[in-house]
Amino acid sequence: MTTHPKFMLDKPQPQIKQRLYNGRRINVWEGKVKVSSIIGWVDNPRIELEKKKYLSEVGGRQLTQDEIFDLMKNDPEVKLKQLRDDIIKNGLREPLALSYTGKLLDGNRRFFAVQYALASMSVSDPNRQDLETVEVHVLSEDATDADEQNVLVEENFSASLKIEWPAYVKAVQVIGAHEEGLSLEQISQKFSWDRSQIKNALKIHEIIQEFVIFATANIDPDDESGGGLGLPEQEAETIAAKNYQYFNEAQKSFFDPLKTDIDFKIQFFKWINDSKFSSFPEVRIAYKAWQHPEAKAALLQPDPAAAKSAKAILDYNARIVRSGDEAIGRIDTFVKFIKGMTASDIELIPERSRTNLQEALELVIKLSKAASG
Amino acid sequence: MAKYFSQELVCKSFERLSSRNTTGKTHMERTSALMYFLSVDATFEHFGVSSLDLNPGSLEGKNNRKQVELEFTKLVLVGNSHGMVRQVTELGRIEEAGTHPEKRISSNFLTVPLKKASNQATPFYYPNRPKHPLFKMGLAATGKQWGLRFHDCWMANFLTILTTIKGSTPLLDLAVFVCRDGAIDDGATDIFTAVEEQIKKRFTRNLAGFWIQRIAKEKVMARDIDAPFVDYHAPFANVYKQAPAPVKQYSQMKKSELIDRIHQLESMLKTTD
Repeated sequence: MTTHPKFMLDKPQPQIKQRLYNGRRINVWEGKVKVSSIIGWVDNPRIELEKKKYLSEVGGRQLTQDEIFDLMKNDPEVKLKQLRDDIIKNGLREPLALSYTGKLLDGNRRFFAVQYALASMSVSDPNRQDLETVEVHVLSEDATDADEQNVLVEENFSASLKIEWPAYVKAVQVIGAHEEGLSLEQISQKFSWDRSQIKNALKIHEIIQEFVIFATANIDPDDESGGGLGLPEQEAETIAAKNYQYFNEAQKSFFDPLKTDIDFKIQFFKWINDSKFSSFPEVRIAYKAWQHPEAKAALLQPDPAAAKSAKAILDYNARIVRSGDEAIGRIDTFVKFIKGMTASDIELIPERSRTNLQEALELVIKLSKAASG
Repeated sequence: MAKYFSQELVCKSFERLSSRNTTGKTHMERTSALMYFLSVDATFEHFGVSSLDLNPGSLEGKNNRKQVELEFTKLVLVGNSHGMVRQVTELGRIEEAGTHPEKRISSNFLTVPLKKASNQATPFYYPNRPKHPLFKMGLAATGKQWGLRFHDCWMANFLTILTTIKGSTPLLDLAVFVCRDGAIDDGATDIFTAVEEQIKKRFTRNLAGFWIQRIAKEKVMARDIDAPFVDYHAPFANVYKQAPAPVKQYSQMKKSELIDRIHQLESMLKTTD
């Protein structure tokens, strides 16, 4: 009869179970181990590039666990600090997978994040003991190399079926907490959102609430804006949820104008309802376009590419302004250069160049007169 | 027979005028600037002028000051129970105790910026936060040392001042709050005609025209405006229930703010004895 590996703790009593990895049933021991008894996976392909870079500096040799730990801490792609913070707050959510010899097969990042968490906790921290032992799945003694490979494939190649909640759904939770009277600090702790994220969500919510009010108001030909959109509340909320990121873009780009320019606000809501925008940059320029007669006229067209046209007009005008600035800069430099010249400097200039300069200045005088006339 | 806005309507409008931010002083500062502005405009209308001389050393200046103080008090004083003044220091919130409104405006607006402006050779604009002034003051700006006029861009700046308000109909809600005690003519059929009548009575043609036009635009966003009238007057502050501050919020307050809040709560306790 197979026995559990010695590095596993006796309490709780390890249990042998069958688990499916990549379609194959494999016997594993479920139980707990001390973090200090786990051997980190130094050949983890996740940090291969960083490892190569490091080895080119220190010379080709086997890296120690401490060196791997440092590499992972300093590789922003690995996001070890974020995982450490999450583990401190929530504990280790998934057991680590180990070979019978104690080699890590899956959970290398989590393992080093736990070490990172322990290193940043004081010895007297009461939460420390929760992280000093972790839950593990250990392959049984009779597991083959193919079994180890199946664990690797299952844990690292299979796409996670977990889908994050849409931003709108998450925001609803945050707004709910705010309406319950929780402070920003409390909401921040509850949802792991920083304060600015929460404030932004509240602003987006404010715009969305106004959208829903407008969208559910009756159509009224006597009203100067034609009244609302006359939609049922459910439909208005669905449109708001679908366009949540566009409302976010509006919050970032023109929150105050939405508050001060009610004509623009109503038009923006109509545009949202008409699916006028097909990208964030198109939303971003909406208020600038509103203030620019040509771009505004383009944006108000029923054409599905109206927002694209309005953006193109604004981009073109910005380029013109930029090139205008460039011309001013060059003229100023040239004028400074000319004014700095003495009679003897001019005398040294060849006749042909002086004639060219004279012709150019006469042309400028003529064009300026024509432009101002 | 005259009628009045119902307590429920005024309460809802006033609540919608609250700030979206639960901490900080921005909304309070903006409320003050807005109330000063409305008080001055009402004074303009009262005297039929478009600028005021607020020289504290002249009879005219003293008269003008008195009228501005009176208009300000009408705007922000919402109750006076058991000798305890209840007033609005921030839209959406009613404060008990504190300085009487007349004293509040005379020791703040009518003292600090005006005095500064009177000693300054260049035009002085108010308020500075946000940098969207409603007033210009002083000799360079008005031709009088203690002169006060509206800033040339007051219309745009008036709207910017309102951007901390969380509701979607700030101009309508502000009008309902400002006209809360006015006797409305029986001919007014709805809230819009009622506020129009009240605003025209009390404020200059410029401000009234601008305000009424904006309210008309807000019509489509207006909510809870059915049955706005009752045939008796009742102060809304008697039934206004502002959301209590979450306990956690106190731990984020400065010591001075906490002391103010304790004094306020103590005075509320006294009035319930």
